Amino acid sequence: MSEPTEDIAELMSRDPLSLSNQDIITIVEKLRSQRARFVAGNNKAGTPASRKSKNTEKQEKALSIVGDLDLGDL
Amino acid sequence: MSDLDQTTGKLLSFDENGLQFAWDATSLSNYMKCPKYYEYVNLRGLQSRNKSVHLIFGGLYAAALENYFKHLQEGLTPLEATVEIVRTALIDTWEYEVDDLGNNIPGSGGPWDSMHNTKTRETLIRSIVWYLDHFKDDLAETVILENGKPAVELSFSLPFDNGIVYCGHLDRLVEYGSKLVMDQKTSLSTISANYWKQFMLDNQMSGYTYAGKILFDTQVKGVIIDAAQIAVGFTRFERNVVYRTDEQLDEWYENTMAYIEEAREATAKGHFKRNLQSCSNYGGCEFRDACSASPTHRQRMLRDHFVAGKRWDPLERR
Repeated sequence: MSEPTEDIAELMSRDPLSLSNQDIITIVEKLRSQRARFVAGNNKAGTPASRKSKNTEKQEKALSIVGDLDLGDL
Repeated sequence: MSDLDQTTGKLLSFDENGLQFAWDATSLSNYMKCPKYYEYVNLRGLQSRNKSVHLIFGGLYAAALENYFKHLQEGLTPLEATVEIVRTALIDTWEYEVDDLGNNIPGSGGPWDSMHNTKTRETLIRSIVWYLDHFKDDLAETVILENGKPAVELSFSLPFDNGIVYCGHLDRLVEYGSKLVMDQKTSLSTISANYWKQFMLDNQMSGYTYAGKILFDTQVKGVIIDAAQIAVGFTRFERNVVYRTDEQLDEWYENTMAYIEEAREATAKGHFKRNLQSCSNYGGCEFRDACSASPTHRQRMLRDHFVAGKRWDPLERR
């Protein structure tokens, strides 16, 4: 099962106008489960997942186009 | 007139001579902080080119919670209301491109980057949901007014003496042992006994209580403040009530009128003194560098670091 923070980050990285009611409910439920862990004593329970920098996103997009090419393919 | 002196649109709260007659806690606090600050912000509309993340975050947080209780009164279930306010907060913190009509273009833009390591889009949404979870069994109940409507989203304009009007906006009136105005605050600091002391003489709390007593024909005793400590890994909530006696409110009224008259006189004369004791408060005034510069260079510094935006207009409905 994926960590709640990663699931929340993925949903929140999408255009909110594209989110369904169920997507929002999922965000709410994941945040509530975070809070339960905080109440149980984990002061880092609500730490958001790191957001990718714009440079990282550009690199990932470029790599997805190139794929597994290497010098041997030239 | 320099580009720093442009006003944008007709202002409801100022008379034909440019004197402010409609005041609220924000305007009053700005003048009390420093008359020169009031001139820069309220009269010239100067805003830092980097908008305060604290104002943005706090405003979005309070608006979300205000709308939650409004949705409940409209008949939505708690989950439905939660979904609505979270969706709105997500949209309001997404920087869309806009079309020619000013409408958000779906699929465009990206998430708001607050440039702050604690008050972020993610911690905003988290704080909203965690608040509702923390107070899900809240004993504070929304007051229902005599007209049958819930006491939420209440804007007021009170006539004071000498043609002055005092304005404001109450998020919610609640019954919690007694009738109280409810207000939401956010802080990066631990909510300690020291934190609450700032509200003992706070203009906004006095103004809320004064308005509550007069406008809604109820015995409003004070303000219940729900404070949220925003940290990277959690949001923690504390609640306290600040009360005001009738005598304290009379004193507040006299003090308020004295400051307003002083501000109007300064405006009429075009001369605003600087309160040099305020320059270093709360991390330092944003105009400190410009104010400390030689007058010869001050206009350039103001132009470099500030922009003349929409002036604060207490009578404008938000």
